[in-house]
Amino acid sequence: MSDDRQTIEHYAQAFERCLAGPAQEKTRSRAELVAHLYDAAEAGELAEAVQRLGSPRSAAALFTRAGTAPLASINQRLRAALIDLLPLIGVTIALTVRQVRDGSSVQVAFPPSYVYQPGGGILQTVGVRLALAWSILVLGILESRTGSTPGKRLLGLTVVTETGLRAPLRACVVRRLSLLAGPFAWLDWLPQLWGGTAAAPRPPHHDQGDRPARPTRATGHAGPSACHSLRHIPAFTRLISTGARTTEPAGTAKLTRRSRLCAFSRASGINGDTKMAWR
Amino acid sequence: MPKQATDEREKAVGSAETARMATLDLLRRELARGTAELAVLSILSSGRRYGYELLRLLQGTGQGLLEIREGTLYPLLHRLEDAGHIIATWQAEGRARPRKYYAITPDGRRHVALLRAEWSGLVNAMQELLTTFGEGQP
Repeated sequence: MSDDRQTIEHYAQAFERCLAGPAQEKTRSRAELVAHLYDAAEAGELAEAVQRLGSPRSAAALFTRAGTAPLASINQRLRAALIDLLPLIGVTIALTVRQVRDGSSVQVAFPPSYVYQPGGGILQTVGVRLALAWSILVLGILESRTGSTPGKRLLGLTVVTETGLRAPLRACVVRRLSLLAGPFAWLDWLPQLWGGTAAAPRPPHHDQGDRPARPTRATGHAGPSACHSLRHIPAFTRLISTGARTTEPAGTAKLTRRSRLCAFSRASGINGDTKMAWR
Repeated sequence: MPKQATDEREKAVGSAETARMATLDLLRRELARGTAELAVLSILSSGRRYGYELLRLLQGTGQGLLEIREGTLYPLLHRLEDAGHIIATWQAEGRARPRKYYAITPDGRRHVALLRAEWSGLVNAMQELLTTFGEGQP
């Protein structure tokens, strides 16, 4: 049984690393898996159970509910983005104010140009680059490690893959590179515009079970119908509502990459057509 | 008969048998997927069960005819829970480790009654069809 325990613990650790979202949700999924594996071990069928489950990543896709969680609404997405991009917005405003103050012609660009410009000053040379590094690299790393960013955390959102797992670092960073591509690329972050459908609010009795691991706050899960209709959209990652700080009914939205529309997905090779490669 | 020819014939028979088993396996999985919801809710109608217990009961039904695995069972349980047909509670009951028990709700009972009626209708219709147009019929 000691060997079994070790096998289960190792498997569960690898399993947990594939999960995204709030710690309580991860604990809940892990507890369910571990209970299943210990029951299998008691029946002398641990090896068979592990074989059926496959890799910890594929097991994580079975036990997480993030894959069927409702998608974040446009409103939630925009508010989260506004908070996350505050440094970049701040630098843009500061650059504009400086132009006005200097009496030069006012040219506003968002994001501001990060190419060196003579006389750009420290704000343009360092400020813009730092703000962009925050918006692309730091937030990308945070998304990959925790499934969230400060803005998304405040709004109770989590970034997950189509199967509800933690998005890989490369995918998170490449997706954020679209920030540099301008408004048409940003539209791709609002999947409602490409045919997203409304999700049903979660039934009120949902939290009655799962007491040890599941918090009493709304987690924003809805039935699978929420995203089944969206399966045809080649997706990259999903932004779901995990309700960490909000109890508003789950809306719908999806952070998707449409390979035909977004060059970043194609360039990274991580659009819907090739997502098996990074699962 | 030369040994090589015998080996080749055995190999051909073996691969045909493997292909037949694979087809059968696929068919059973497809059928199990379609009937899993009814099967799970029917078991839970008789009392609460934990995940592994459910799996064993399903796998033991009809000498393993229901090819239901974890990959089908757990997403289904989550879906049924989300839909309000079942509820889950963790209980230790004197054990060191708690287990997650699933129980059917009144809403789930209504749903399973509907599924049963549909299933009976389908079985009767298929039986009628197979009798009328079955093997050996002109």
